[in-house]
Amino acid sequence: MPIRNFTNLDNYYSDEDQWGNHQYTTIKDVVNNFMFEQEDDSYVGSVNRNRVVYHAKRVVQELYFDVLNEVIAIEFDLNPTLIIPIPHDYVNYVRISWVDSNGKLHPLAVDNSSNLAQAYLQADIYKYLYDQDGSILQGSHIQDIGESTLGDQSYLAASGVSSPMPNFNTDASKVFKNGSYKIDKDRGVIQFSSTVSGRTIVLEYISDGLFQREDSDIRIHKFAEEAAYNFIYWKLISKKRNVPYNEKMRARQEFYNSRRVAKRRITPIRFEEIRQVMKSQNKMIKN
Amino acid sequence: MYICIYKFLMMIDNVYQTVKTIVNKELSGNLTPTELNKLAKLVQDEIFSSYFEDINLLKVKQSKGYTGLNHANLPQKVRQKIDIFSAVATITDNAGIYTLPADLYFVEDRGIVYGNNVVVDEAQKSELSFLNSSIAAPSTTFPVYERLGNDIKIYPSTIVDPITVRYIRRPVDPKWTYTEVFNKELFNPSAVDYQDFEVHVSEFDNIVLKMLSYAGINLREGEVALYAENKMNQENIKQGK
Repeated sequence: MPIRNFTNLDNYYSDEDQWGNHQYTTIKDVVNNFMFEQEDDSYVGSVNRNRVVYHAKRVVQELYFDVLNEVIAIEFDLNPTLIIPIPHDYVNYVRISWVDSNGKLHPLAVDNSSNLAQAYLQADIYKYLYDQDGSILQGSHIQDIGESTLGDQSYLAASGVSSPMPNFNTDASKVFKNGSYKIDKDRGVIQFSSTVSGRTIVLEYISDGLFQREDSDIRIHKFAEEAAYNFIYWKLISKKRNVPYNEKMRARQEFYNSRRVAKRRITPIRFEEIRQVMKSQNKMIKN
Repeated sequence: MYICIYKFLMMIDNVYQTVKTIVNKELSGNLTPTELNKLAKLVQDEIFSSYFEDINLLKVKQSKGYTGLNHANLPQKVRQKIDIFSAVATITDNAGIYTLPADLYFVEDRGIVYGNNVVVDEAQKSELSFLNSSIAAPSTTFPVYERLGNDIKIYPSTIVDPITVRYIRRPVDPKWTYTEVFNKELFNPSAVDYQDFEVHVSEFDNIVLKMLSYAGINLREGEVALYAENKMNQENIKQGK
């Protein structure tokens, strides 16, 4: 959705798509501003706009990964197979939780001990089986991730524990109170433990800011705008032979500095938030 | 005052008279109107094409701090001389191809625009294939064009809107027109095909010198040509070319 300037605020408040857009600047504006900023004697004064667009999109990706904190959250009911496909614009997850009837999130734990290896089909003499194209045939390896909650008798029994209460013999790193999941990047799925079967899952993840977006809709937070200009400039001169090394280094430093400033502005440390977190530190413990 | 206006408005006649005065002063020969028109075109084109090198040299000087503001802003002055030939045209889609104006000399930098000032940038042929498969693939926000002779092809092909082209056109050929009275050519600026020089009025001396140089060769008068060449060299040295 293109960002517009409003002379009549009614137009803004009556259009949901425009709400909050003033925080952002479009990549089109970033590119146009960058082109306008260049002078005749600039190292990139005669740069091709296509290259600026390329680096502008690259910086959107870079900043989306670990600066902009643009977390996308989707909610879905888990199907009986306990497997969901990774979202189309997914790059990495932030948190996966199930949500209770009060709307509270219960974060799941990642279970790296589950087997998600590709299962090659083998003949009775353990030879691999191939299809007509010479590719190895694969079988289904999908299995339920082992139950491993505190109250799960089978897990505790398998761990050699007879009591439902955990004891010192229990490997606490494999005890998942809220359930667990494992991400299979290769197959593009997330597999859940049966503990969360039938629950509503909330997946919070980050994207690269580009996927399936029209160029006119690609945007970045205004706090990161300066970092975007610095990145584009740095990348444009970094491959040029006639630019001195110290200018390249200065541009690199400028980008990382502005990136740091952007990160600090986007995720500021607020006193009220610290106080909220620290409230529990004052709790009296009675014996 | 009258002389100035005459010089500016009908520079070609003034040039002709000046050149004739110089080359005829010792009955060295004659320059016919046909010869004049051919030389005038040649000289105008030569001066016009030199602007682009001049502005480049002057911008280099400017970046080193050798030029100033206002009247000392030499690149701006050359820019103004070029801007005499600035033109804007609207061209339309014809089966995915847009034909550029016939009098086009150069397309201005980022001079191809569609819709609400969306710049259509030029794509190098060598990078077009890579560009189409990169994250910077052409879009309606960042379209590109490929030059095919005097046509352009725009990517993405979904763009079919009329295109605005800002360009530098070629100068129109100057023509000194006349009517014959008693076997003598009398200047007639009212003729339909009359065309004055289009280059900036400050080029008067330059035109005369260049005309003299060519006229000297034409009339086999080496001294005239040599004089003109020396004069031009002195001017070039003065301008630091």
